[in-house]
Amino acid sequence: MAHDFTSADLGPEIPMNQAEVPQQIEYINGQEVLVIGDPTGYADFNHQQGDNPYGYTQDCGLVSCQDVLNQFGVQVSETDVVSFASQHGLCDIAEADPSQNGGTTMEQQAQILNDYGIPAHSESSGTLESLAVHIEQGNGIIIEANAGVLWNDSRYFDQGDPNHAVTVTGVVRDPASGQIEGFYINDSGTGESAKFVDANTMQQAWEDNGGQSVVTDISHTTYP
Amino acid sequence: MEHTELTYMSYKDMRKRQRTSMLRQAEIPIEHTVSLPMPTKRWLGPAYACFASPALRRPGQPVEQGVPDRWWVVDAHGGRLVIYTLWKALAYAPEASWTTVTLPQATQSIAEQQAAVEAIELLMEALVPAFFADEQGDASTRKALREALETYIPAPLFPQYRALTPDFFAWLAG
Repeated sequence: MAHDFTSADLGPEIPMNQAEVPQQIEYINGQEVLVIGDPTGYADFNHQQGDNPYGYTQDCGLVSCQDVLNQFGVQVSETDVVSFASQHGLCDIAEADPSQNGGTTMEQQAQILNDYGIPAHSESSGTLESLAVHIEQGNGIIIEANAGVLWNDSRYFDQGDPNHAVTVTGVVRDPASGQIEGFYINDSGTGESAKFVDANTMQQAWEDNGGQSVVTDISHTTYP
Repeated sequence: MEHTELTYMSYKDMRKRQRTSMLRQAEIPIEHTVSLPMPTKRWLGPAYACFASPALRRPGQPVEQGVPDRWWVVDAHGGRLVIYTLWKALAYAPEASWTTVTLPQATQSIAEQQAAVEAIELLMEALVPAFFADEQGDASTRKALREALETYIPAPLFPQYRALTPDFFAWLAG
């Protein structure tokens, strides 16, 4: 019996952007891994935070916003983003000591990205797998992690609470099993770019303390 | 008529909720340090109070923690927000003259700090119902919690905690 031909006849649809996100085989500690994302390409968008004329040094969230904006081709500097956020009430400027200013909430980070034309939203209770999926879909991502765990320094542990924003630029999987081996991040606190963070550390630094993130609604692969 | 006994949120759940609450997402900068929730009855009954302070974390250097610039109280039964305010609008200790402090070098590893927090959570679970019920609670457990808090909370921050919930610290010392 004849029937109308529909897209369902083609089988499961593979999102185009998922196929276009860079993937390559690399070696980490002698182990062959599959790297998805563009940690090397996005490494240049990171720098040590505090590079602004206002003296704000508490601005990991703002520098992470700048990083994501740069990833999408929006040419802004840290100073641009700090200035914009300060003028629009999108960062903390209440402290008498300027070095303590520049802090942002998740909502403010998402708002800044939106205001610059990159739609984004905040998420909670994320898992390593959901984080990986976002990378594989080409989304820009800021995670709210724990600096003590990321830097392996108990001085910054703060009961394990999220206290530091970084961007995630790649996921590393075992090419055979698909198991997540780790992630690549840009960390403006240390200035380290394309830093590999193993899955256990990411679990403790991020997922275990609430799995909170700011995620763009659009993909790197589809943005003009 | 049946009497329904109110139950309290577990201390562990209270801490977990604090990390992901809308208040945290929308009002408190991620870079701020948030205090441990402390039991109190100062604000309309059994509740937990917290404060947050800007904190400067530079790799390899000690943390510089500013004075509390906001604080809030949540109901101990269901976690409902009772009050949230900036320090400049309403200070919880108007007489305080704190300044930015450089926190002492941590002597505990991350794993040891985690264990210390878990111990505090257990002691809170055991003691807080008695505090909320105006009962004495077990003296040895009170002493253990007091010592655990004094060990875990950096000394320069202890006055800020004590001023936040003086009723709880007085009860602990009683």
